[in-house]
Amino acid sequence: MKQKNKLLCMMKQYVVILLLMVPLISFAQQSTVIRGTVMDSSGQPLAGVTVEATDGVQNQRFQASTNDKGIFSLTGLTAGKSYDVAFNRLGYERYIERSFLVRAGDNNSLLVRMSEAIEKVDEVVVVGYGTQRRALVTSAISKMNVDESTLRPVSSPAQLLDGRIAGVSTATGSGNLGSGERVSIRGISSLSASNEPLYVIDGVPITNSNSNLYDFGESMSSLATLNIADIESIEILKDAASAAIYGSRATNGVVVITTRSGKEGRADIRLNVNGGLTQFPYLNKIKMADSELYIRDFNEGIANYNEQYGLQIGNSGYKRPISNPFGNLPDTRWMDIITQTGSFFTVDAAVSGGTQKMKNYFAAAYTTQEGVIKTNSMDKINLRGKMSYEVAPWLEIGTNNSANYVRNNQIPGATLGTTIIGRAIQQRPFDRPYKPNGDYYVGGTDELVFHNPMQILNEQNVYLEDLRYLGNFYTTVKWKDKLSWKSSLNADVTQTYDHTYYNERHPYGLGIGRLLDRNRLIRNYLFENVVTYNDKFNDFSLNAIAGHSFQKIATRTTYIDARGFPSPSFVVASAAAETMSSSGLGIYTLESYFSRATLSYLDRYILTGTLRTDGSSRFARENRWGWFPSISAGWNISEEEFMQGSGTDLKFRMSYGRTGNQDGLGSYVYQALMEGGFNYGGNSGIAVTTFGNRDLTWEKAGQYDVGFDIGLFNGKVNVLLDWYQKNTTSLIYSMPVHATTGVTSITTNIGSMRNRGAEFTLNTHFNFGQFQWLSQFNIATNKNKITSLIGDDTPISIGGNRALQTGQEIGAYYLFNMQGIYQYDGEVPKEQYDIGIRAGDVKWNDVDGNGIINDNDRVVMGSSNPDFFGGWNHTFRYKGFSLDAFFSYVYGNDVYAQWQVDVARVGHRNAVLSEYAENRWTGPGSTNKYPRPMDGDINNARNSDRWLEDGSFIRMRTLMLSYNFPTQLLSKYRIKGLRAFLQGDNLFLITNYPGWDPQVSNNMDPRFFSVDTFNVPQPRTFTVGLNANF
Amino acid sequence: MKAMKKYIIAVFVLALCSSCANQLEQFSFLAISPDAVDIRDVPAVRNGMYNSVQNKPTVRSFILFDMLGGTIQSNTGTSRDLINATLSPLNSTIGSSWDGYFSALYQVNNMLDIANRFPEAELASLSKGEAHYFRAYIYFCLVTRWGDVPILRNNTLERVSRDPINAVWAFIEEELDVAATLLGAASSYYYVSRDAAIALKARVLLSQGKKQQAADLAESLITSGAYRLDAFERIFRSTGNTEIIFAFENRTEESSINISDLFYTYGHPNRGQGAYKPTPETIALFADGDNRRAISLVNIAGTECINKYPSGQTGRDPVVVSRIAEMYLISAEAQGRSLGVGRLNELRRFRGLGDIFPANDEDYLTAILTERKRELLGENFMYHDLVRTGRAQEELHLLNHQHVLPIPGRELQLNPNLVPNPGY
Repeated sequence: MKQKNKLLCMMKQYVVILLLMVPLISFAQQSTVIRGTVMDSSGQPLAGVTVEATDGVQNQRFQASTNDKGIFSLTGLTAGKSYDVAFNRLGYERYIERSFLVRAGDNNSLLVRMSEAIEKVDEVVVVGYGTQRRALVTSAISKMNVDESTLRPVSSPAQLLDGRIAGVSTATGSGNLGSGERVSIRGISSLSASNEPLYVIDGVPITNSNSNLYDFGESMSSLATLNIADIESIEILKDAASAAIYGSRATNGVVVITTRSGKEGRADIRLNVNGGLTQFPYLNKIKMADSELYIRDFNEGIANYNEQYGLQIGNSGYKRPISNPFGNLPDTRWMDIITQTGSFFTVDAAVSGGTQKMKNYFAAAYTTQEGVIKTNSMDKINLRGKMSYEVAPWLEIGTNNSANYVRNNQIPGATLGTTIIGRAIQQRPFDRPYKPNGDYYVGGTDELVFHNPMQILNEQNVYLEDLRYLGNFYTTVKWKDKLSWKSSLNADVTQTYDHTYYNERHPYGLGIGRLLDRNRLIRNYLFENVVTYNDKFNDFSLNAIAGHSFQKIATRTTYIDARGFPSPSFVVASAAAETMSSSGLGIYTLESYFSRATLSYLDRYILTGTLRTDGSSRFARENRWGWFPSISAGWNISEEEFMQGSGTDLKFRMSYGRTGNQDGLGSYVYQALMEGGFNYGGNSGIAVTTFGNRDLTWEKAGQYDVGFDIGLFNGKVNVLLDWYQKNTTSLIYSMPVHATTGVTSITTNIGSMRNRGAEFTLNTHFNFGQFQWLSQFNIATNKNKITSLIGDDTPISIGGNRALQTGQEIGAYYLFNMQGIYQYDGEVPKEQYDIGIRAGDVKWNDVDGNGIINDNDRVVMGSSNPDFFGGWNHTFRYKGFSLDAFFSYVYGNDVYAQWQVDVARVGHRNAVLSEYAENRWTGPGSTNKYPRPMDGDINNARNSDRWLEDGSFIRMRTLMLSYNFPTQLLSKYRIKGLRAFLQGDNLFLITNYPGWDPQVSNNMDPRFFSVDTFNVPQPRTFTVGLNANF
Repeated sequence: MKAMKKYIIAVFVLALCSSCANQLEQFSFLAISPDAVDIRDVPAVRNGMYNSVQNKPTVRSFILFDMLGGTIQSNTGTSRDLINATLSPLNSTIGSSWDGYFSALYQVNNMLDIANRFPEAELASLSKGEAHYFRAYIYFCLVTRWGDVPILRNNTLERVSRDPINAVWAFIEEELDVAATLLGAASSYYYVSRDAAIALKARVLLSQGKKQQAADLAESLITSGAYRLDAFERIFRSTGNTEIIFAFENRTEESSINISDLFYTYGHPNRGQGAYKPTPETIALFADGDNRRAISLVNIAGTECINKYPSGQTGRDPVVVSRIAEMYLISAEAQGRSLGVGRLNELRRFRGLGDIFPANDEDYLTAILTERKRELLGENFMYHDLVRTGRAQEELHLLNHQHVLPIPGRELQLNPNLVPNPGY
């Protein structure tokens, strides 16, 4: 408590107030009283508000503060006089009731509603291994408070960040429930697989591996197990000075998630209930040709083929035209068959409270969801218990435990052979799912081109079950408020069960039923000791920590492949005729020493230094330890005397730090391995799998950051501004090598790259009497550039459509470049004419001019990285009503719309886009964009800029209307606060992108990011809910 | 309270000191270091070699000469479409075949290294013989696909250049001779024997036009008495048979080579993705009396599919490398019309067909090739047969440059010392 007061003392406003706390004597004869209640914006009583009445004439001051019911009484005032009554509380906007006329008697009452300050300069920020006052923070840390107004119906906390914080971009794999996500902080810092930030939840660096054990066509989020309602704030450590304390895993930034706790002197019961509907958005945006158009073009393609090769009926290779086998029956609306209106329902409750010695927090939540594709559903249960106990003034013990359960009934993702949208929308318009007798038409045969989507959904039983324990036990020993030692044992234990059951009627059911039964246990233990030292010497204050941690992550897997079940009722491997199994075990350890010291002079000049060293089992002994230092300095210019009283807050920050990355590396990557499992004839065999690389070492990033924090007009306008440059060296990469070596890649330190960018955030907060307007606007830009790569400057082709090249950015495409349509056969070079290219086919840019279109003709172009992106939020409040409108936007990114490749092939065996079908080339001059129909075309569907689309968008992310019921009304029912709300998410999208959603990708790796293969778009969501506090 | 304080701090310090010593050295639970291989590991390395040569080249490598040979087509286009789509330096089948053969070669060369390191090990000499056979097998696959290829007697990280085709053929023959001296009879036809080396050499000689030697080797196997023509029902349904000289066992749990999946459709009880089906001309080759027909072709829901590999998606099937019928066909072709027609008719009679007596050498070659299409359908022969006999241009409408495969674009980018095959 003492310490807390000390902290408060340092705040500017409080300094002023405390100086004036000399009791003032009332001279007046007619002494009277003002009584009143202070509430926050949600109608909850506010305790600890300093209420101060000032008499402008005699300059008399009277003070009081509110109790835990929010009630105050100011005594000693003179009746008949007017006072300015000011209300102050940490974290809230100062409120002044001007010229309040005090009457004689007991009837002077005030009801005041105070709104929370946004990005208030004196907020407390969670930094690595501790917290700091915002005033002392010298690095780039952004904070997002998670409350009713910023919550969205998403399953993973990462998705909450969308558009909220400058320099943080997010994307999801698809709109399916629990789909994996990508969070990118200040661009792309590494080449190795994941590139995801480090997630630290209540101090525990968690494991964040794909939840899918059997690749069901998309990666699944392991964060989806968490309860979003439990989260109090999310801090993003963006620059190296803030992240370097997490050393070897911090290059891609750190996301620090803090959950709610019990507050001293309060007892709260929270109850939130909400539910709603979800919709597949913009379903009719992608228009397919109907049967008539489809058949016309298909037969044109056949005629073109037969004509080109001089084939007549009866010739070998002659292709026959088709007709609609179902006559005049209406076309099948394939997308309507697989989609549905989804729904969800969430209830969460928490009980929290605290005394000086003991604080606790207990919460439970249940969520059930149904997705926009039939059979996709998810259930989630979260429990949390948090407790701290001050045994003695020098000893505190505590624990924080959360148990989480998720069951996700999956549908096939976009990269699986049964990809659900692909298997619906790509079907020929006249085909149908069911025979007249109710049997399925079987895909992959002459009766149906692709797998029957209803057979896929009905005959599978596929789900993921995650059980996750996340928690810690700790003891803190304190000495005189100056020195403390915290020792903690932390654990993140996840048991994942992946059940993929195809019954005998499913295409993948082998005709006998097949079960892929997979279990994984990840045990992530962290033992940590941190010593903290706080002291003041005259005008200097010092905050220092030093610590040691040891982390061990062990992963154990068991996979069973069982085939041959008596009937679909049998769903465990023991019932199978045949089983094959495998199991695995891997261990990875990390030992670290870290320290930080912050020295400040009168809060004006602040210097912070951190140093961390990590030893990782992923590197050979001689390259094992990496050192990660950082230094940062801040100048609170507004604390200088010449700025006093200007109503302006101004801080200048600069920092430099080094961080590392070892993510996406195999556990034994430096070792040459001769692996087992290469069996023959029922006997065990071994074979060399990797050559190893003992020289492999840490990827290191050095980052500079310069920033300003500016508060104008007494905090009504806040501006945050940052510039940074991040240079990554010793990039770790699985470098492609020529196959004659016996392998196709070797993991090595390959080169270096640079990210440069700027971030701007503008917060405003204006009151117009009862009407309040708050806004937040953020924008960020980042430019990525590969500055060196092993070998020469020629592009290294990776994947099907990307390349790495010095001078280019990660995520650059490597594609053929369309130069129009050949209008006359005479224009076609001989080499292409010989293999069947004719007028009406695509003319590719022949870069080397040899007439042949091959690998040498691909061009590095475009990028999946945006030029700039951000979000814009507005909150309007009037009395109890509140309207939130939040937009997110991205500009200048290219999306590879790979879904078009098949559906733009006119004359091909699958459904085609009506745009391509209607506008096909029919003769010289007809079009320079849409090729001719050609059955068996090998030229027009290349990986090319034909499918590269502008992915810029503005999205109406959320629109929310809420109402806080008046406290007076509620107090009769012993309710502290009640809020009802209506929310719409993803209401509209402004974009040139021809698909449904430019923000989904079938690959989360930044090298291959932004590829849309008919991924399910993010749904449109309508929510109605109640938040109650007792 | 004081005592408690001391006690708690003591426990802290103790816990701190006892943690994490030596925990930073972690080793795989699935693998050993190649340096740690010892004399007892030789049999395991040998199994690893078999597994690698069987699996690494990837599934389409085992039917590539059917895909390019005009006997099969994709389910959407004609055989000509399939050939045009496949013969591109960017084609994934071409790329993964190239990568896979060299990856398998790495394990074979490693086997030779280890066998030489432990000459007294159990199976060392046998393993060496098998390794030389596999090296020849891999190079036969490489040379018939890409022509000039780098000869790697040892594993190397160098950016190697291509060796002339004659040197590659000489290397293959040399390897088979070494193999034949080291090998004897095998425990089963799923392991390499001396006869397997002889059978492969007969094929290698025929490819080079060394007809007399090819005929001699083929005859030596036919007349040895160890092998006899046998029914397709036994050869291709994993039953004991007298035909097979060498085949990869390709057990379900050990293999990623699922040829059946590419031939069966989802209409078949065993399921398959049905990527390829026989052309109408291929189907027409099988006369009613041909006793190969039922095992070669099956009608699934109205579509004729290749039926030699029966497991579909439920398992894997052995992949035959050499069998005695091929020796009959080699002998018949290499001996020429007057001497060879006897062997041809012997085979035809066994398969339920009548004797033929082609009038001239052209017709005789046509008859041989037609018989090979019937006998060896789906067994990876046709493209090379047509190329080596000079019939490819006429039968497959190939362009000049399409008589060899393109070096994969990826490989050309990563190794500038490789000269691309012209025309691609």
